[in-house]
Amino acid sequence: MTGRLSALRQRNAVGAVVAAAAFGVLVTIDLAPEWSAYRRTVEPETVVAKGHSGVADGQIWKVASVRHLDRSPVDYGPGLPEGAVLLVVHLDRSGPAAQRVCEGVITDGRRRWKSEGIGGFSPRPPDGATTLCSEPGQLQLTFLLPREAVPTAVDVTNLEGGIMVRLAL
Amino acid sequence: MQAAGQWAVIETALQGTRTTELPHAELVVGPNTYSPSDLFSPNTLGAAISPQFTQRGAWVFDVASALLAPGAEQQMTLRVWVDDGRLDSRLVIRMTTDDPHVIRTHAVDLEPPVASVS
Repeated sequence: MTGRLSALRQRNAVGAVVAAAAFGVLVTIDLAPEWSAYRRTVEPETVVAKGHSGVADGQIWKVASVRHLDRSPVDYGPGLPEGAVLLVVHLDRSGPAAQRVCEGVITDGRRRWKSEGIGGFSPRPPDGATTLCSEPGQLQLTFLLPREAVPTAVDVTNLEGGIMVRLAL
Repeated sequence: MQAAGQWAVIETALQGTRTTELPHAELVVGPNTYSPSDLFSPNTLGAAISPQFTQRGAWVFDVASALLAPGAEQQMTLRVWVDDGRLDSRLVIRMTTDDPHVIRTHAVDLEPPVASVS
């Protein structure tokens, strides 16, 4: 009787170890990539201090200018929402243009606003600037913000939301 | 424009909280679930909403007439969510078709959504 109980305990212990190992493998294979992707949306690959430049995605990035507008720069469509302003940020980039799509996000450390897209309030970029990551030249990003917002940094993100570079303002 | 059934126009105010997000909605009436009609875009809600901005506008649904007939007293549920909606909370507003907030009218003029800083 004691021998049978001992064999049963041994079999249960082996079963528990196998189940735990299988669970560990499942978590590693199935959830680890998604966890990494999530971490990239909250932890920038590169952080650039105010007034400095930094390397990200094979390019050197620096904030060139920040401009405030209190009216719509486009001749069509409605005006800016009441209580809102536009922030137009130009980013210097050197090195080969990345062959990818990107987005701009501005943050005050607590909240995040995406940049204006096609048909939004984005002004026509000046010569030598573009609104597309995949084209060479200064990158122009336009943000519609509440007047009292105090942004602290601009993030350039990929389509999955991963932060390629964070530039302090 | 005439609906296949009856138009249900849900006037809503949406406010962004932490990030710019694209809102999605559906209306459950009785046993049926309806997606918003895009026939009246851009005079309906559907644009992204950002923190501290409030967007006022309407979702429009084409609902089977029998479910909205006077006296039908069906349960209506508006669900609103952002992103793909999985593993995240949804805003759910329930009312019945005989609720005092429900107004029956022959025609509705849809104004484009209006955004303002809240």
